[in-house]
Amino acid sequence: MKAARVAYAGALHEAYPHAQGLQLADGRVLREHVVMWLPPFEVGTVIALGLNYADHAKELAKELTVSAQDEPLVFLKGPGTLIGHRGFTRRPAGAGFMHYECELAVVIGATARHVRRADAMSHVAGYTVCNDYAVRDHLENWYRPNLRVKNRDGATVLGPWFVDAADVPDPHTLLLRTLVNGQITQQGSTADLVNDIPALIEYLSSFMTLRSGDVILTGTPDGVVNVNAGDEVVCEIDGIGRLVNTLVGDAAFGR
Amino acid sequence: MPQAGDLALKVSIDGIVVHVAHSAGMQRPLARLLADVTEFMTLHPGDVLMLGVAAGAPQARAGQRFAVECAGIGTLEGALVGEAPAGARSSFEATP
Repeated sequence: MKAARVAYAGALHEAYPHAQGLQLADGRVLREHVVMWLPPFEVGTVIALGLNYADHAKELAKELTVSAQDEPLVFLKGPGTLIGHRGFTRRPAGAGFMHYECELAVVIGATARHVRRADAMSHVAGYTVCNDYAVRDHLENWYRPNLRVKNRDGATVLGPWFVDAADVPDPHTLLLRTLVNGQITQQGSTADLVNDIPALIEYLSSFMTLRSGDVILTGTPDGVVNVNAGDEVVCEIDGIGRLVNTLVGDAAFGR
Repeated sequence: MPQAGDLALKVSIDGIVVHVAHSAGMQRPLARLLADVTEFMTLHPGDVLMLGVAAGAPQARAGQRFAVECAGIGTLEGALVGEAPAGARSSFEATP
């Protein structure tokens, strides 16, 4: 099953896909653009992977002080970063290189601590799409790891749908792509994850407890390009969803 | 806290002072950190900005008690306990 959380006509609703857009739990059928899309589940800790596709690591190699990865490169993000489908993200005028990152987001459904690889997938509730924007200018600055690059207000887009794990027989064969103003700029497959989902759950749960609602952003393949205010960025993962975001300039944020 | 830019932090392990640091020694003062961080993320009441640790931070072992004291702020006390070996883990981890 796919489900979303939306605001409509003064209330929050659960909603489901419908041929004309979406259907609220109370039966109303609506077009996609008339509702406000929220992140599709109550989000706990946001765990983000850097360099989890070999081709993207190569793409970044010149800017990084780390190279060979013995362990996953992981960091956390705060709740202020999250926004839903069809939201607006600030594109700072002074940034030289801001790019999207299309990622499979893995949602934890059952408490996980010291979980072995063989048992890991039973802790997954489901999946959604993430656009994990980055301002690359700050990749190796004082505010590491990745705080200023990635922990930016409204720059972690999640949605539109939460998709039950049972409906995704193999999350490691999903094709993903990004379109900027309708042009495909990034393509990849979750088959190319350096650390696959069971490996990530085994690794993370070896030193921290994962809880229901926590989400693992599994990283992005190569093909990231600079985006600008006014651009529409669509991140798609086959079978999971098509996540739309629009970049807006500083003026809308009083900067 | 008029003097937030110059606070002494005293760390004790098992009752013995092992480290003293001063916030005035920070590379970036508090006002600068707040200005930098709020450029890209909004801080709300209840959010915490941790200002980092001075050089020479002491080490402590499982079984020891620690206290971190800051004049005018308070003293934070606690104890370190070991993690059970992998084979002995259960869904609830007993403490000694």
